[in-house]
Amino acid sequence: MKKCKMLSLVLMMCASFFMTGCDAQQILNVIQNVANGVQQAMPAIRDAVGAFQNAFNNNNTAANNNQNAANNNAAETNAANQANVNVTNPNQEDIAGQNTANTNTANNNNTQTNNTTNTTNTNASQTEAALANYKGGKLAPSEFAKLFGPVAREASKKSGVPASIIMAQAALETGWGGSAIGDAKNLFGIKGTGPAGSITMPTKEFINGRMVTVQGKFRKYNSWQESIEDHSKLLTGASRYAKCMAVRNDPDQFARELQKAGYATDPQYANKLISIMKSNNFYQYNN
Amino acid sequence: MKKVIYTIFAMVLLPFSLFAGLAVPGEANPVLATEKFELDGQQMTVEKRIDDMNLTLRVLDADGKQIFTSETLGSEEKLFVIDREAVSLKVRDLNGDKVPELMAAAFYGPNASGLYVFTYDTSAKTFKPMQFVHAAADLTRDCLVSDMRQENGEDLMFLSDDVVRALGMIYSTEPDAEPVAGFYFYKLTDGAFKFVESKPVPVDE
Repeated sequence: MKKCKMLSLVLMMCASFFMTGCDAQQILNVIQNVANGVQQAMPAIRDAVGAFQNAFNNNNTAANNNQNAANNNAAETNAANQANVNVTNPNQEDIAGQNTANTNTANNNNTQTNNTTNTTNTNASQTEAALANYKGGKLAPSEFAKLFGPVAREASKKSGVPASIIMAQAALETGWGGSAIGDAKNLFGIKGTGPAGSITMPTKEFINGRMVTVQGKFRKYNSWQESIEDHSKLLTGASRYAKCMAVRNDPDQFARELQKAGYATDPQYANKLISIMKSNNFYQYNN
Repeated sequence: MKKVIYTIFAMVLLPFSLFAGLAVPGEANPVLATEKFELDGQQMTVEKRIDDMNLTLRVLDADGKQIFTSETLGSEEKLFVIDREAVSLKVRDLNGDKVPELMAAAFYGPNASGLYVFTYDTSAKTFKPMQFVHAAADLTRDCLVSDMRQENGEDLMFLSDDVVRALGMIYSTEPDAEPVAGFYFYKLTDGAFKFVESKPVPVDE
């Protein structure tokens, strides 16, 4: 009897050891399989026990084992489903309307020089400087284009995603920079952890049927260009958007394929992208 | 000597037992969720699994033979809500044809997730995704799309067996208008989910 107890203990410990690294669902599946196996083997077990009793006239104690562990908490899987949001301060949207002055400084006072090459270089470096200083906030469409056009063109060369699409998406999704997360240089509001870590910002979440301000974790980037490149990588890497890349030379069709693939919920998303590209002539930035 | 061995054995194994069941689903185990159901009198199992960031559904018959594998649905696990409960996978006869539908959600990025409803095509003897149709926009998709990911699954929600609601942004092309969050409702009619209406979500200021 003592040996039997010891053996059971050792078996349980071995089972625990092998369950290390398993999730609750996996353990439940194993237990279910074991229970099914035991159920199927019951007639044979009964026969064996009967034979054993007949032979030795002993009490059997081994048949009813191993079911204690079956009542594992399925609630464990539900625990992960709970929203981990803390309803917090409504003081947010502190980024709109700021720092547009920086972008203006980039476009100043270049008219006097006669050296066009120098002017171009100066403009380019000023645009870069303006972009580096941009901390998010709503821009006029022309300013938005000046700031992000060259970056989108460069990113497009690497990824194949049309620059006009990149710019239209950024404009549409952030309200022309209004909701871009400046400190994180996160142009598309992508959640999670980015190349430069993450940043916690007030954001709207859906709680009890309403949009409520909570703290959300967003990807942080080292530059706006990195943000654009990451977004393009997510598009080109997902099999779902493969059809978009097949029509990358046709930005309007690219927008329609994005919509079909389910990039956005809004059924007018493609038309809105196309409208922005047309009315602001974003096509000029395509390679 | 025997006691020492037993003690060492116990000391090594017992601490590990504390961690049993605590692994993150999908990390060591590719199976995220399973459900059993009956099809043509046969016991079936549907498995939601993720391999190498490819999330798929698989249906296995009673012998464990794979009879259906979906295309890649996404790259990350996603919950949806049915019967006011957040679930990963659900089997239910939604259209009353005595054949259960398989429901699962997946996140495929950059901000979007899809709720898929697979129905059994008796003539083709395979599962096919039910379509979500927005006739006015001439748009048909194989899933209900939400671009506002909510960890509690409420962005993709069954309000009843035949009405689903997605949470998504309503965009404006006007530079002065900010995008706002909206509800998009679809109703199951004639074998497909058809768009009913959309409206902005109330905001707590």
